[in-house]
Amino acid sequence: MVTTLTLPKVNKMETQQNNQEASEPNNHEFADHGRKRFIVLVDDDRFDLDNPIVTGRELMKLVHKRPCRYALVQVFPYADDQFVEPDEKVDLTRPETDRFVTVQKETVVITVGGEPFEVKAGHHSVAQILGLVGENADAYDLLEEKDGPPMPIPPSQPIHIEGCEVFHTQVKSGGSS
Amino acid sequence: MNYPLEQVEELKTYCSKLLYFEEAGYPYFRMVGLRLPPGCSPAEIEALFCPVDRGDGYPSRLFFPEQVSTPYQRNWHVNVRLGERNWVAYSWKVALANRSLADGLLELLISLTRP
Repeated sequence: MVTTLTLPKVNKMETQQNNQEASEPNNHEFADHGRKRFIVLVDDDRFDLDNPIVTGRELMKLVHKRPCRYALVQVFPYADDQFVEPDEKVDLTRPETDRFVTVQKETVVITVGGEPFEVKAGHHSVAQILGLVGENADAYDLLEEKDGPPMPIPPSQPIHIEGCEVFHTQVKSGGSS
Repeated sequence: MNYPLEQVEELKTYCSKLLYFEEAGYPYFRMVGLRLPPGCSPAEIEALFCPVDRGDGYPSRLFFPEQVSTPYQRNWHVNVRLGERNWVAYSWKVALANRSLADGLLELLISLTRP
């Protein structure tokens, strides 16, 4: 028994056109196994997303950056760049919406005793950090939680704030004898 | 001596390796790679943490193989031999009782940073 396979006739010009479209997809939208995906570039890293509506915080998370230290900027080729707030939603289906960069902020957020505070990035004293929560270095120790458990900071030690630092305060106790 | 597992786990976060031994009936946590506060040198060192009064009137002690450089001068007056090694310690009384192991250690680390 002979089986005959019938192949569909394909117009050559149509094939070329289809190939061209396949190699030049929409700037930020393409299909992957029937599912629509959306491309974004954050700090020159490319990400394929399922959802075209994303927040600034979600975009920053892609490059492991947090709003307490970095700001997100949307880059437009023919217009001024725009800051995107952490909770602001971006619609990736709109044209020219796929490029973002993160920049270090001048005013950053730190946490002291569980409370967030905005401070200028740069050097601060222990007394200044304690002052944010109304405490002073005579009665309180300042501790920083950084890659491990909280560690005490000597009162004379300048603290370089870059954003996202987590501090704790502790009432002074004990003494030399 | 038996210490709650969660307290021992918390203590582990301060060092790269935690060992335990007893000598003369007193407990010692040997902390390899103990992180010291900023301003201290070296940044990491081996230490022995004894969380009880060894009969010298100090509720806890932190022993080092040698004096560490601290932002403020400490009174390094203790020289002892423990676990067949020589150790030194500074004078500091932790005031609060009934603390966890980590809280007790932290208090001794804080003391290295006090004026």
